[in-house]
Amino acid sequence: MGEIGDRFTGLRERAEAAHAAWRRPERPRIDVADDTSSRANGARATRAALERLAGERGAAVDLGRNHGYGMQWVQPLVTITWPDGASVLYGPVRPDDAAAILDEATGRVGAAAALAIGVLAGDRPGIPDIRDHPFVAPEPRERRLLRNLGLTDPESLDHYIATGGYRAVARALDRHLEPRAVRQLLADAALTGRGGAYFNTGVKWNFLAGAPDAERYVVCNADEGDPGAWVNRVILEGDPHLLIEGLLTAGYAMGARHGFIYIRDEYPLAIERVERAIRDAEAAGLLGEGILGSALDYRLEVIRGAGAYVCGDETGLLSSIQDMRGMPRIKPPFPAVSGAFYKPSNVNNVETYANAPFVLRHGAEWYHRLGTAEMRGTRLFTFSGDVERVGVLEVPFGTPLPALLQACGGIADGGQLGALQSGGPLGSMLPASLLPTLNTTLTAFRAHGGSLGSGGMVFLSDRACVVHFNEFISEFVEEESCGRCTTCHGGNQRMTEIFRRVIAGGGRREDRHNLELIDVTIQQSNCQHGQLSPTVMRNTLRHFSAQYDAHALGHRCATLRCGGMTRFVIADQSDPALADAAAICPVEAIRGSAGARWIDDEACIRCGACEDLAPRGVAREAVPVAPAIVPIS
Amino acid sequence: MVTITLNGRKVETQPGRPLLEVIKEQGIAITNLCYIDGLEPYAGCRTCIVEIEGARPTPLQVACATRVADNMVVQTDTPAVKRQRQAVMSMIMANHPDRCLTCHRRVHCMPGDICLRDDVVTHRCLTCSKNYRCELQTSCEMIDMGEFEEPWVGESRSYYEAPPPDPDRGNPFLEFDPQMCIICTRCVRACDQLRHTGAIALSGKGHTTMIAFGTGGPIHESSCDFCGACIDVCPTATLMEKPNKWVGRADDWTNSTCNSCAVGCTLSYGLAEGRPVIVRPDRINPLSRDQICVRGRFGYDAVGERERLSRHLVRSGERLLPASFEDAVRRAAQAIAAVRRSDGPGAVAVLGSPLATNEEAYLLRRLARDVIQTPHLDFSHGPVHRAVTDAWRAAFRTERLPAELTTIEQAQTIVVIGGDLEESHQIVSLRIKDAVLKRRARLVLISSRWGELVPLAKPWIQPRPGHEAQAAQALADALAGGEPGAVANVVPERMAAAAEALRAGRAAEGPFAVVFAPSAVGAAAAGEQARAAANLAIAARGQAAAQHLHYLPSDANVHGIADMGISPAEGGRSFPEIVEAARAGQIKALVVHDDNPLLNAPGTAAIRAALEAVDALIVIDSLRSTTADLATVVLAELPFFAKDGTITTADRRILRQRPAGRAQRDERDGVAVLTALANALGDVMTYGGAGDVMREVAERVPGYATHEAIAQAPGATRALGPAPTAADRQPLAAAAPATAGDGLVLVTGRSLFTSWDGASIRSEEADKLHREEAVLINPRDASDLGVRMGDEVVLAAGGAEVRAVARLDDGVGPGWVYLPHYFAGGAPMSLFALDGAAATVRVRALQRA
Repeated sequence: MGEIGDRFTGLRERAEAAHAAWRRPERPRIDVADDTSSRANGARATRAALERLAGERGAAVDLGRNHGYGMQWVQPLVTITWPDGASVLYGPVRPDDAAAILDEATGRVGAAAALAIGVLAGDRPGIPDIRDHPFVAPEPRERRLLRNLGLTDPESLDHYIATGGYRAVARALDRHLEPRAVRQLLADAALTGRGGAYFNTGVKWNFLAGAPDAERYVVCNADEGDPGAWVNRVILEGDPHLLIEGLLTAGYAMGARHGFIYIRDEYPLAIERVERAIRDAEAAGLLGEGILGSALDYRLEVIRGAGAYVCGDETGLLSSIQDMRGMPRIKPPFPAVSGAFYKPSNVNNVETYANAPFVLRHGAEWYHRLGTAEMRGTRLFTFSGDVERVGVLEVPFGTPLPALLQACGGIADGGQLGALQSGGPLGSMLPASLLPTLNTTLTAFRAHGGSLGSGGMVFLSDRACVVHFNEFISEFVEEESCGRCTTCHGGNQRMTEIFRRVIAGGGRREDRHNLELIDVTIQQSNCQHGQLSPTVMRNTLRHFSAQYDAHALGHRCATLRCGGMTRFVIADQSDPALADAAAICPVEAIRGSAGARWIDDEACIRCGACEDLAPRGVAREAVPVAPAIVPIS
Repeated sequence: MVTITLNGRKVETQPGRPLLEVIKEQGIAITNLCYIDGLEPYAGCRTCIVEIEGARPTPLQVACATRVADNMVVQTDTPAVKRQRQAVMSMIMANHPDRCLTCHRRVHCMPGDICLRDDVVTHRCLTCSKNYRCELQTSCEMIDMGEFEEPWVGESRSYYEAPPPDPDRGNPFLEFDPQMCIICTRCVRACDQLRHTGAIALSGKGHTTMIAFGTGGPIHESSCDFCGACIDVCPTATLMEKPNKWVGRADDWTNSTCNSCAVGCTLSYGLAEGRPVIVRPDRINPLSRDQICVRGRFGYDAVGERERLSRHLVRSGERLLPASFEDAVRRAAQAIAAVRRSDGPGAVAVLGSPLATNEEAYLLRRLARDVIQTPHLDFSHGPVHRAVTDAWRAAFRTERLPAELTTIEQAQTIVVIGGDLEESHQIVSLRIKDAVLKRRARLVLISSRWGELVPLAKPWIQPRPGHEAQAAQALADALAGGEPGAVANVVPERMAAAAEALRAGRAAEGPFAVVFAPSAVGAAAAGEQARAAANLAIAARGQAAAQHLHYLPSDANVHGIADMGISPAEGGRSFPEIVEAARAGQIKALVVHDDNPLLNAPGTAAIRAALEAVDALIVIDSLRSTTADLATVVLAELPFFAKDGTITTADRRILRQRPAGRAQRDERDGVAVLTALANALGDVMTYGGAGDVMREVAERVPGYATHEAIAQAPGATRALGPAPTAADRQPLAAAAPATAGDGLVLVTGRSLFTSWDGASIRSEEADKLHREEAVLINPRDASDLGVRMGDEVVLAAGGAEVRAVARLDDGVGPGWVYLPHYFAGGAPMSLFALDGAAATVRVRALQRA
């Protein structure tokens, strides 16, 4: 081992000692999951309650922090770690449950048994292993990217190093591993870009490595903007050093001395954690000048996005990095020739970079153990929509979609699956009937004109209206158009206008033709945002043709979601909640007095607030259509 | 070279060029609404779709973003191409008041007709100011939009649902009507990449995407210079000239040359009913090409038609009364002849003007020297110009410097000695910006006040006024070896940095541009600066120095009229001497052609006294200028844009001015006026027009050519003399002249927005933006004087006082103030002595803001 190796060993030994002490604390420690999702679900109130109670009791416990385990339907999550090294995950822990958790932590075994989800580490009689939980069933027994979730403090560099972090990079530096060999290793591992294109990362890195200009940049796309996707956030907040090690690997492999991490400003905690991780890594000599005493210089800089969805496009992001309006550029030149500040650059997604350290550490063969021959390895997916269990999972490529829906506990409230929306607004929408044929590979999705996307999977129940959903998506895509291509900003406006009219009950026979014209015309746009914007609409016309025709031609919405074809009526005068419903109506459309209420349909704006308050008293019904139009085709 | 097949024809071209440019070069009509020739493609409108064999993912590709490659097979007119272009265009049209563009019976419609499709007025081209001269309209015709069914007809379009954004009509030059905008962003890129101004940006996203000036407020609150480059590229009625917006469709176009500064940008005047209504850049002058400035574009409209003279005037007691041309000429001739008879020809003096054409100047010289036979012939800026050319002659043995301004664009090092070129010679300033921003040229700026070039200068040397020559000489000395000497108000580090830059520039190949733009006031200072500038050029480029030295005179045709001989003959008096002699009663008749000494020359009190003292004051002008007010006879001449002739620019290009406009009533062409006056004085001139005069000039003045010869090589004919035969360093005075008095040094200069025409008649609207009507005072001086922003102050010197509003501005250094030359009809000139020597003024606050 050389000087670099010695230096790293020193770091590692200290880190391991610190982590061991954390894993086996002197007195019980209660970790309240601290990530954006937990915070949104009340984790800070839970923590405050625990702190207060522990202080009042003078309890012999410590409070700590970790990242949630990915089970986001049972938040806030709390982990208790005892001096014997056993860790148990509890949730959802409300402030009221603080006493039970404290009791459990301080030795009253079983006090919080009702909240226990599973054992994270060690052994606890009566509590099942977390890996046996049905939600994580599709995951491999050992997580890769998510392996530190729940088991480390995400703000601790020591914990990351102690769990094997930075070891591979240090070894590469120590042994003067050729950058070319690193790229070859990635190419052999067939690691692919997780942004949705799934292009071989090792091959892509060769483009930048071969660029003539010595001044070049590694750029990380952390502008995750797809509704329903937060896989990158889990890495940024849960294991920021994993990303940094990945970017360091990338810098080394491509000969760059500077990297940018472009994080959307809606991820303030991610920005905070990544910036802290950069500072800590610099202080430890893992970033900056002369990394670990080698000749390698590498700096990372966090750039905050200003909220434009289109900056998630790699060239839009590059424009934004250099303080220009976030507009995707004309290609060619490609980023490997002219990227950030018009210097050669490589843009990858967070998850892509996060995979690199594993390949470097364990080799391509190990990497191939999961996934299919077509797509190697695992990828993170976030599951949301009308399912029982919302959360993030790391599943091997090729996992059947029915298994994933099952892991998520099926559709909530006894409904049936209506549609699967993957890949965000530029992704796809496929019907429930195709679910058995789908698995997490590109080919499976492409066979039906769909796209696997970048990690967001939204399961829609059959009570959701796909046409209404189309209106939402086309409006989103239209508002996020950068304004360059008339086909995109004009075309999406036209598409939105048509969908608005259709869901308002004004569908026309020629609308299908016009939507198809828009589809063809938008293909003339410059970037992916434009070109992919009609995909969901195209999927709808193909796979949900009957629903579309019912709306556009029959002026009927079977799910009673579309305002123009649906009206609210009083279904049960005896519902006492009707008084509240009448009070909350923003347009005072609920008229009459108790027992003789009626809804003024002219005034009603279909906001649905009354239905939320009085689900028994208020009902939806279809607006009668006369004369009936028989759909053709 | 590569070969592509374009519509079945083989075309040879350079590889890598945008396909769209090749298609346009071949004369093939193709819609393109966002492309600007020569700039990187924006590829936003997507209407230049063509079919390229084998292209992926589809053969239909936009031509602007496609680079030409060998064996490319391109079709521009297949049904698929047309259909696709129509579909794209229909999406543009959906966000534009459009209905006439897709109406098959539009050609039958007249503006007053009721629309048979029942469209509201705001949706129709027939009520648009750009109707029949609109690129969008033409593009729709090109692809037969009338035959394309309108899929979005009757849709409740977002475009019509929101109230249209308010148009910006808050300034006198540029109107911005956002509802017409199709977001092609040509204006954004023209402003940024062609002008380096960056006043326009794209704001919003999705359907709220819109162009915005500055931060989205009124145009006149942004950094806009009103050059109108955005107007030239706008394909719709979004950005248009305010003057004549509704009559701007020209029946005819005349190319001519701007005479508002010595750059001589070539213009095209659009004429409607015989008068100019619109101006576009004309590419004849290779320096200006497709760019002009606010003065060029709107100069024709600087004063209204009613403010121009349309009749000749003859004094009757206190009043000037209209007279026929023949009467007025006769009265003028009689007055001159009377003085000549009583006091000899030496009692008559003649003043010319750099705003005149070469032909007029030649005739004026003939009038003075051959007809009246007086040696007293000069113009207001004559002393300054001769001080400069004397320096050139001493250094190079010629006053005609061969340097060509277009070489500035290739220069790697540029030194500017002058005021704010952005205001005085904007297109030269633009080309300097091009060199700095596009080719990374190094700019060293010697100027006593801030200008738009300052942020580009590395470094900006800001000497105390009067020490510019010392600064330039210090750099010349540093180039010759050693360190630069000390310069008042400049820290040594800056001088060292400048010297370092110039040494590097000297070592490099290529042009080393020394650009010298003297103030119009102060002959002695101009001479010193010219010698220093020559020394600097010689230190950098030795014997070839004259090739790299650019002299920008203060007015348009200074070179031309000097070449024509508007200068004192042997024994003749110069301008200040003429003034003194007139006051002393030795000169009793004065002929003033196109000049206004009360506006142009320092020493207003003395000049006024002289003009009042003479027995006969004959003024030939298109305006009733402050000088014309004192005249015995005023002969009304056509305005500058209606003149026929030539002018000689700063880099000695002879460019044609062609008449754009005709007489309102009885005013005459300058050549006709001068011919008639000469003939009334007994000569027999038979010139039929400027062309005849120029034939004679070509024979008699070296370097000049006939109109016909100029037409053979437009923009390329230069009035050069014998080549420089020497490059001798010139001695400078040991120290800068001390300024008398203990007040603040007064600096003036040509301002951008104030028109000569307006200032000459002391119009309240000479500066239509009212942006240049203030005196700039350094905040430190202001605090010492107790002056605050917006206070009315009095500047006093030599018995004269000028009132102005104070603006605190650290663009001027402590110890000096800046007041624009044309402020209040040239009022600052009253604070100088007749010789234009540096003046100090006492400043006191008059009224609190």
